[in-house]
Amino acid sequence: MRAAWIIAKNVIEESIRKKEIYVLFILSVAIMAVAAMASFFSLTGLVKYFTELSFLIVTYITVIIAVVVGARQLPTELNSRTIYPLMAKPLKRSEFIIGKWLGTSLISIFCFLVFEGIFIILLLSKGSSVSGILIQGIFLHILQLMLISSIVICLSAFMTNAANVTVSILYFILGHWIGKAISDALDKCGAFLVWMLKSLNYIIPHLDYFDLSKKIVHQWPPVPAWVIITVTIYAVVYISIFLLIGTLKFQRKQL
Amino acid sequence: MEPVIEIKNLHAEYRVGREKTVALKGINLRAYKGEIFGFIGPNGAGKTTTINVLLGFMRPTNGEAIILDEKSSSLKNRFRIGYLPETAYYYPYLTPSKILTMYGKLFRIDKITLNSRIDSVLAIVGLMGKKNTPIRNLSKGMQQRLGLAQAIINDPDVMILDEPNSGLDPIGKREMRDIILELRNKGKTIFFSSHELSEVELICDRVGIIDRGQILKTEKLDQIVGKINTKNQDKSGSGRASLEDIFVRTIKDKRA
Repeated sequence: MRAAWIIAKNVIEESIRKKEIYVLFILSVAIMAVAAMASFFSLTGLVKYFTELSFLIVTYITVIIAVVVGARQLPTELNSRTIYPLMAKPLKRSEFIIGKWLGTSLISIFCFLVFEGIFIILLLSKGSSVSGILIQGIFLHILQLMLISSIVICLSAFMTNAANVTVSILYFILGHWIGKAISDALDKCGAFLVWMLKSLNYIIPHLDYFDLSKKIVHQWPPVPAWVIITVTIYAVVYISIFLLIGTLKFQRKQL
Repeated sequence: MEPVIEIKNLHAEYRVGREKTVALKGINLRAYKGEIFGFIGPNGAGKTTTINVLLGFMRPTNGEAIILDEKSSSLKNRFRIGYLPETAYYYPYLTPSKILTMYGKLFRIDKITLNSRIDSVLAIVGLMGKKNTPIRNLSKGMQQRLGLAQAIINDPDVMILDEPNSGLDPIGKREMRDIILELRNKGKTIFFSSHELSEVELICDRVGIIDRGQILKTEKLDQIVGKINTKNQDKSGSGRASLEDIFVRTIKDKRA
């Protein structure tokens, strides 16, 4: 796994040199700052509004970072042909894929933690406190970023950068509604379609399991520990499956 | 003598879109310890495909390629192989020092040894003064030198060089030639693919001529040149046929 870590560090180094993260960072901090300055609600309303908007922005921006950084990894290595001297070294293709996933996950998690740090400082400045549900929400979003990174890296072995970004962003947007949409559709479908939808329901990871934003906004008490543990196992299983598929595809690829 | 590189009945094909190209049609080759083997052929002959199979970038459809007693797909032998691609492809945002550190770590070289190795290989290729310059700011020739530096960072026993003179000026070519000869003198085996036959003629011990996926000739350079000289004169009438004359004649005879 040392080799995977070396690859991951290179992904981080590359991302630091690119300007897109800084642009997204400035944009999200600016939106958060505007939200924090708004004072046309009562204090309770203001905090809720600020929390909801900030969490939404941070979630979307960090997912975009994970998708943009992850999607370009393999295609760029192939197009710029940097992969040739790299793969001539004692590096397994599985280590390459895991390294790319690890680097993508770490860079998006780092950005998320920076954003959340700013968000918490602004929240505290409004006299609010850091709740248990907020900490759980942060943890689950980190898992979500790792899961999305694994999907993006897996897809990068199958499709181009642009196609990967489109599919991944669409999946992220629809992924939160898949469970509900499928259960709503079940009543209106025939037996075969019901079977198909149920299969789809089991196969596609449900991103809504990682979303505590509504509970954070409405200051719910923390969810039970077993829920967090179950969702963590759920994420680990799916991450492993996507990395395995990505590795198998990449191993079959002729460079 | 034990072969360091052994290619047996190697077949390979690749697809571009739906079109299948048969790149290698059962080639056989051997490169021995301490020799410079020149692998020459016209464009599209199968040189790069052979190298791609040797390095495990491609799977052969039949036959096998063995380097240092291990199948080419094995990771074990990568610790003892150095590879220089045809054109420099390195991360532009890194510096020579950083990229060599990254590659050196993949070879699991410890930090102290790696630091001294980086200085040593950069000195060999004449890039010591550019150690901390981003690669994007290096000229094409400098990037090719960096390519050689990364190829020798692990002090390999076998070196696979794909068009090592690509992008080099005459002085760079001369220096590259000297470095390759020096490596040979240290007992390294060098598998060298090139279009520049004059360069091959200057440094190679044996040559293999490939065309349309088939090996046409594999012999010692002095034998190959000597044989032809006894039978024919070159066009200039100088009495000495160059490797280029022999190469062109071999390809034409085969295609006729």
